[in-house]
Formats: sequence, structure tokens, C-alpha cells
Amino acid sequence: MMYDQTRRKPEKFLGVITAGSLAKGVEARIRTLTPLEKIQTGQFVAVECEGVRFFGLLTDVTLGATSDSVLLDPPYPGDSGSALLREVLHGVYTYGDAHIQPSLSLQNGEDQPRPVRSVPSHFAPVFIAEESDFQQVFGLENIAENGHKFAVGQPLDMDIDVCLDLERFVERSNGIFGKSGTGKSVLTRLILSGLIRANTCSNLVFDMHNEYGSVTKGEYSNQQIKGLRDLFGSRVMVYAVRDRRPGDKAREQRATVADGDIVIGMNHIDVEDILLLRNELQLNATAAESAYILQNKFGDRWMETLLDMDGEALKEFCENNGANSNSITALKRKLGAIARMPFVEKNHRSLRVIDDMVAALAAGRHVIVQFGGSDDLLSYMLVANIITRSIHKKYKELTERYKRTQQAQDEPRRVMITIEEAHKFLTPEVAGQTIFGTIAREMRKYYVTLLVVDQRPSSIDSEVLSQIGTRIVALINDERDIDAVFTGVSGSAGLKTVLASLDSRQQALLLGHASPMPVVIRTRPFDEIFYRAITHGQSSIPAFVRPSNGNGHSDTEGEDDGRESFDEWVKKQDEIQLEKDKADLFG
Amino acid sequence: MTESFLSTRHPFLTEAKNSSSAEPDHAETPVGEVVETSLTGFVAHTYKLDEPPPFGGLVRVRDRGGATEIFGAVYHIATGGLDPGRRAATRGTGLPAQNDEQIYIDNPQLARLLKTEFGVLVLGCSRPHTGSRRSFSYVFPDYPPPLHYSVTLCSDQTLVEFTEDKSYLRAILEAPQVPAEELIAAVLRRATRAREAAGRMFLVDSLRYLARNLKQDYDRFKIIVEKCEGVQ
Ligand SMILES: Nc1ncnc2c1ncn2[C@@H]1O[C@H](COP(=O)(O)OP(=O)(O)OP(=O)(O)O)[C@@H](O)[C@H]1O
Ligand SMILES: [Mg+2]
Repeated sequence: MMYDQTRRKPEKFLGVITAGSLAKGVEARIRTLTPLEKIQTGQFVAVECEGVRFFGLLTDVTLGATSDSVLLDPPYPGDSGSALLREVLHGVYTYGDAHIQPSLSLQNGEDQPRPVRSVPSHFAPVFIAEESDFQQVFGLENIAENGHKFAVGQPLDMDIDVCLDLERFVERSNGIFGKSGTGKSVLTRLILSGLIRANTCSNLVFDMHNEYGSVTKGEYSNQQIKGLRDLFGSRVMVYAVRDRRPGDKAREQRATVADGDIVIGMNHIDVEDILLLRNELQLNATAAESAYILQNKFGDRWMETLLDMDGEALKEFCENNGANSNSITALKRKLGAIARMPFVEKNHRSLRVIDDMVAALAAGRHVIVQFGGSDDLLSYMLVANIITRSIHKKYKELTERYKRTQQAQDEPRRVMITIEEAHKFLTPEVAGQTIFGTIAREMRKYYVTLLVVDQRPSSIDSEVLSQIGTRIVALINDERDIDAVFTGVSGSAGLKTVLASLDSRQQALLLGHASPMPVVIRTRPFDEIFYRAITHGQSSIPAFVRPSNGNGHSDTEGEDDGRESFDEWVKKQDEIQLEKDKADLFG
Repeated sequence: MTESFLSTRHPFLTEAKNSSSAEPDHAETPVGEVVETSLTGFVAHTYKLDEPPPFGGLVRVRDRGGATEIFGAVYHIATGGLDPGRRAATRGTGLPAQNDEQIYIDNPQLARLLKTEFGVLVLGCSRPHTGSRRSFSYVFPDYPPPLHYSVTLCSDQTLVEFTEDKSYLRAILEAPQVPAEELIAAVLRRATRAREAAGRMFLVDSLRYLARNLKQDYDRFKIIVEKCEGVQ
């Protein structure tokens, strides 16, 4: 795409480059006639040079004066000639410098901008970006035409789409940050809608506040925010953590109809899960040690066995195994709280429902896990960790199989796991040991990535933060949180001032892997217009049926209901593949 | 206020100036004759006693070939005895009821004994006509204006055209022995008024141009701005 510098409108002219460096950004002396108060940080600008066009973000404006005498004797209002003096001093004796962080450059004759490796030369003219610049950099939305460019919002001062590249988005773990009420959850719903429509990955959403599945009331009057199930029907499956024990009539039936109830046997609760809950349960380090001793001794029955021990048995166990009896007693008391959760069963159980979920994800469906509406952090963390652990395990198997066969149809379907309150899973103390930390670090190797949604990024392990590919950041005020958001981002000093200047709702800074350059957006409204656009021309699909049987979903049957488990299914697929390979080899 | 500083000097000039500026360029009437000349400036005597062009006014003189005109600003005006050795003496009564103007009516010979002279700082010249628009170059002419050639006060239209380019301001700033701040302010005030509604923009642009040339001398710049405040 050739470009023509002269086509730019004179009123978009901002100034000329006067100083700077690639690392720190460049300075532009602002054109004399532009009133400084009209220049906003966060604006997208273009710099025109001989044969190259640079794109960048205006991150700051500084005031300067060429002579100290002006500042020593400034025109005060009411002094003779002061109004005229102020007006004529601006641009010559006094001036504004715009700080610009260049991100991309476009060579004359090429049509794809590339990351910058040089700086614009002295006196290159700087312009406020126009529509065509946005198109050149961010492309046009095309998910309705099976593309992967998704409009997530518009620039502050223009009505043109800013698109995220969803294919690049799912290649890495991502983060949506912002303080409470800035629109993180709606933004997450927006992006999930794009991902579902573009079909770039399967999504698993741990829906702590019960807001992703079906319609919720917005904070504006009469605002109805649709859920993903409402928008995408059977593409999205809803599983709910069981919130009452069978036969427990006291509790109300859940309002939403779910595709399955999640129940977890104690045998599936690992020491790792308990460690994650260390803060919530107020367990000390010796308690953790004791838990490991128990697990070594009793395997997956460790919790069940501990809870069954009476005082005598406890004492005996401690004596025989060198465990601290105080801490074991404390551990037993704390685990009692977990045992009383309505979805935890003492009996040995299969992970049938979870297997179903994984199969659905692998087959391209999306799954929302609901938590019965109660904001119970303990059950949220426990269930999310257990489910994610088994997904990780299955996906490791699937990936290894794909590595062996190298058959296109064996390539696992990408899964992105959305977690709210992500810092609970990713604090520096636990991120090294828990599954979410592992996924964040291993990244795309096993086709599973995270979408972390959080209001306290400073509590997230910095190693995890530095692995995050695309960041979407709404207003944050806390210094530490701001620093955390930019962990591993170069040239972040300027972006911090931009971030601090965002509105407190429906504005965000977009940066990273899926956005060619940092940009400030007004978030796309999640409303009727969007619902129509995102579902337009989409065919409906039948309800999901597990590949191996058609019994529907139920978890109340016992261990052996004749259905093969997911492991068996995978094993069988492997055998079939092996037979095929043999047939290929030996004719 | 338009002619305030002139009307105190001469009550009749207001009328004369107004009628000339309303007429097209070619009808501008000569106001004086060159009596001393150099490349950088010249001195002229007025045709009529006490009817000089105003301070800061733009005047022009044709060159000998007739193709080029030389432009300058009036920076000095003085009236005195024709004979340099002789000064004027008092002629009034000193009584409170005296009408000063009556002195001229009672002594008509004064017009022959006195002379009014004005000094002009050369600012540029017009290039030979190309098409209909006149264009200016803000450099010295090849030769000084010829002695005894007539000096004409330019119309507002010419003033507007000549001051469009701001380079002439630097010539004033750098001229020795002229009251530069006063002269600049006077030229700017006239050129601003001549532009009517567009005047303010012109004034701001011109002052910015000056500011760029006075970066090292804020105090001087501030004086000029103060002298321009309140114009229009
Ligand atoms: N893109 C949007 N379209 C329409 N409404 C929005 C949008 N973004 C935010 N809102 C409004 O802002 C409200 C708060 O947004 P949201 O619940 O997403 O905030 P949050 O950052 O997730 O807050 P919390 O940290 O408390 O969970 C919504 O209920 C809705 O009314
Ligand atoms: Mg939220």
C-alpha cells in the first residue's frame, strides 16, 4: 500500500519531532496553534518520514519555556497586555512537547506495519491518526466472514473499529485487569463472544459470580446483559457445582438449568488443592507437611482416612510416622469444612462429569462452570483447581499422542480457561506449585492457556505476569497494581500515564501479542446491537453428545454404570490409531 | 482612537487621510519629496507644512527606471525653520483665550519659512509586476531612491499586502538609530486596523514572528506586546 503524505488534513497536524530515542520514545514540539488542552494522552499518532511512516502512542505532554525570564516574569491575568502576551508566547517562548512512544513502522511499498527498529528523523511531521491509519494497523473486523479480527472497541475520539487478532490472542495466556466496576467482566464476556463466534478455541469459564451463563442485570437502569448461553445456545454448555446434597429439600432448586451437576469425591482432592487454600483455611506450613505425610501413606484416600480417625488413631499415626499431632489435628478440623461442602462426597467417585466437560471442550464446545451464586471463594478455588488439573492431565495426553501421530485430526483443540479473581490462584506463594501457575508458565505447549481476570494484579506472581501475551487494562489506581500490569513490557513508563488517565468505566488500554500496538479504546457496548452482530448468520448446532455413548449426563449413578471413562475412550482411540499405523506400514 | 496620536499633532490630517484610503491605489497622492537619500533610508520634505505621513506609515518611492518601487516606514517627523541656523520664535499672546491655530492664519508667511521633514526606513521593494498581483521582496533596492522623487503614502490595501510576509519586522529590529519598539508597534497597529476582522490573527502571527526573533530578549519583546495591546 503506497501512502501519500500530502493527503493528511492540516488540522490533524500536531508538530514535528525534535528529540528522543527508540528506548525512551521521541519528543515532538507541538505546533504553535494547537491549544495544549486539546491534546489528549493515549492518542494514536502517525509520523511521516522519507519512505517510512511510524505509528505510535502519545503518552504525555510536557510544558516548557525557552527562557527563564518568561517564567520569572510571567504574564499575570489583569496585567497590561497579558492576554495578548499569553497568546503570543505560546509556541515560541512557551511550548508543549508531546512524548510519543513509536511502536510500528510501515515502509513505503509494504502493506504490513512492523515493530519499530529505528526512530523518525528530526523535524518529521507528526499527525493525529486518521481512520485509514487505524485500518492499516488494526485491520477490519471479519469474524462474520470466518476471519479472526474482532472489534473490541473504538478509539477515544473517532468512530472506527479497533480490532484484536483472536488467532494470536489464543496463542498465549492473557489478562484483563482493572479495578472493581471498570467493566472487566463485561469485557471478558465480549471477548469470549468473539472467541466463540470466531471458533478459535474452546473456552472454559469458571464463573464465580454467576454472570457468564445467562442474562444478568447491568448497573445502568434496565440494562440486561445477556449470557453466553443466551447468545450461542448449545455451543455453550453450563455445568453447576452441586449446591445441595441429594434429598436436601431445604435448599431452593437452582434457577438455571445446567447440563450437569459437578460432584467431587474426596479421592480427587489433592494436597496441592489444599495448599492452594492455605490462606483461606489458615493452614501453617507444618499442616502442609502433615498432609504430604498422609498422602504418602494412604494415597488418594488420605483425606477420607484422616477425617475418619478418632483421637486414638491420630495419636498412633503421629507416633508411627513422626508427624506433629497438633498440626494434624488442626488439619483435620480445617478439612472438615471442605468435607461439609455440598458438592464434596466422601465416597470414592469417578470424575465422570469432568470427563464429559473435557470431551465437550475437545470437541469444540464451550463450558461455563457455575458456583450456585454464592460468592464462596473456598469452593470456587477448590473446584476450579481440581477441574483444571484434570484438563491439564488430559491435554498432556492428547498433546503427546498428537506428537506421536502428527495427524492433523489429532491436533488438540485449543482451550482457554477464564478465571476471575485470578490472583487467588497465582500468588507468588502458590503459583510455583499449583496447576494454574504451571499452565501460565508452560503456555501453549499443551494447548491450554489462561484468561486471567483480576483487580489486584500486584498479587499475581511476576513470573506468571511476564508470560502474559495480551493485556487489556481498564483503570487502575494502585501504584503496585499498575507496576504489576506492565511487568515485562518495554517502554511502559509512558503507558502508565496513559493508564492513569482512563475513564473509570468502559475504557481500556490494549497491548501485547494480539494488538499490533498499544491503543486506548472505548469498549464496545455489550448490547442488542452487538448481540445481533455477533450471532448474525450463525447456524444452530445440536446438543452435545459424548463421543462414546448417548446416555446423557448424570453423576448420581455409582462408579460402574457401563459408560467408558474418558481415559478409556482416549486409550481406544490410541489403539485404533495404532492399528491404522500398522495397516499403513505393512499393507 | 484611530487617529489619536495624529490628531493631537494636526487637526486636519484625519480628514485628508480618510479620503485617500477610500480611493483605489492609483489615486494615492504624493505627500513629500526626497531631499536626502541612502540605501537604508531617506529623508523627505512634505509638500505642505505639517502634513507628513503618520509615524509608522508605509510610504513608497519609484526608482529611476520606474519599474521598481521602494517601500519604507516613517520613523521620524520633525518641523522647524527652513534655514537650519534659525529657530522659530514665539508668536502667540500667552493669554488663556488664545486659539493656537489662529497663529497660522494670522502669519501666512510661516508656511514658507518653516518646513516639515520625515525620515523613512527602507524595508523592501516591489518586484516588477507579474500578472495582476504585486509581489514584494524584503531586501534593499539596487539603488537608493532618487533625490527629488515624490514620496507617496500607501493605501490600506497596499499596507495589507506588504505586511503579509513578516520579514520586514526583522529589518526594523536590526535598524540602528530608529525607535524600533515604537516603530514596530506603530506599523503593527496600522496594519492590524487595516485588516479589520482579520486583524487579531495578523497581530498574533506577527508577534509570534517577533518572539522567534527575540528569543534572547524577552523584556524587549514584552515592551512591544504591551504597546500593541488594545489595538482595534
Ligand atoms: N462494554 C460494556 N457494555 C455495556 N455495559 C458495560 C460495559 N462495560 C461495563 N458496563 C457496565 O458496567 C458495569 C460493571 O461492569 P463489570 O461488572 O464488568 O465490572 P467489573 O470490572 O467486572 O467489576 P468487579 O470487579 O466488581 O467484578 C456493568 O454492569 C455494566 O452496566
Ligand atoms: Mg467482575
